[in-house]
Amino acid sequence: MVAGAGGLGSTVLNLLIRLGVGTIHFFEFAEIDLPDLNRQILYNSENIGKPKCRIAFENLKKINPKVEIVAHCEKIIEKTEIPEVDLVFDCLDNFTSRYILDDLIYSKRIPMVHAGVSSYFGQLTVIIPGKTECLRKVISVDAAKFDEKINKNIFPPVVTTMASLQVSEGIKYLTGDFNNLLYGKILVIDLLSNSFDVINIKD
Amino acid sequence: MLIFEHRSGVLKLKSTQKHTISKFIHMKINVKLFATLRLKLGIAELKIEIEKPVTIIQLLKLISQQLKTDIIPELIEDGEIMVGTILLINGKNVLHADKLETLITEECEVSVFPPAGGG
Repeated sequence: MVAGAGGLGSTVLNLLIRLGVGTIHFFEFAEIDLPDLNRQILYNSENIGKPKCRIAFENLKKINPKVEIVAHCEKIIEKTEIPEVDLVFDCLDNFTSRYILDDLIYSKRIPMVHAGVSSYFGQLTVIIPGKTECLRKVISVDAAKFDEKINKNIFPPVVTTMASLQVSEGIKYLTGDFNNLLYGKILVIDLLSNSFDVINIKD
Repeated sequence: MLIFEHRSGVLKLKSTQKHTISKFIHMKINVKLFATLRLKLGIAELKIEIEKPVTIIQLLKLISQQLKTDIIPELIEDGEIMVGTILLINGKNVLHADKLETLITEECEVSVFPPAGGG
């Protein structure tokens, strides 16, 4: 399942569909806006004003019609029914929604590959119920206050880089490669200084 | 083993032993800064030597002294860790300990980063 089909979600979905990953569910409710086009690679200038959910579904189907895609054209809220999936990709754009998603799936013991981007930077961690704490504890912020101050300036290459890393971690999880998986750790990348750092985290 | 000698009627630690003592007293804290903090302060990593346990807020003041720039306003607001700043001591979030009063009592690595929220 991919939560969000915006910046991160566009690339995550694009890669997953090309890899032929089983059944893909995704959630998205917004419309396509001109500023989206610099990084949201599922859309183009002819799609402005149209719902991302529908356009993403149509474009993904054209890339690989053999993969079953289930589009949920809705916002994830506390009452959202999460489908039965093996893994979730957090491609949301605010911590309020991230924590709602976290609450919904952690209790169902569904792992999640979280990523966030801002300016030239990004972070990623894999949340595995039973092995790690939930996202709310691993990356603790006051979501309401944090989201008010969120930096909406994002360097497009950091979006596709982080999304590619999400898919890389997702594949490691699905193939059981726990030796190389980023759980119990946070990867922080900085495309300005070209650094990739891994921070080991403890409960 | 510590060796003392009498000098001018006072028991003093033999001068060659002072290095041994100082190894036990001086603790090294490795501080790593990430993302926008790295950008604002122009530094990714620094080492702070302390002679006794310090709290997080005391450490931040020591960092400010070493960098000759006050980093407190970048990280603290209204006496609390700024919303959107994560402080980890050996990977443990200080929010789950005593926040700014969390005591550092041994050599460790302190990571400071503002998480990215966009997507």
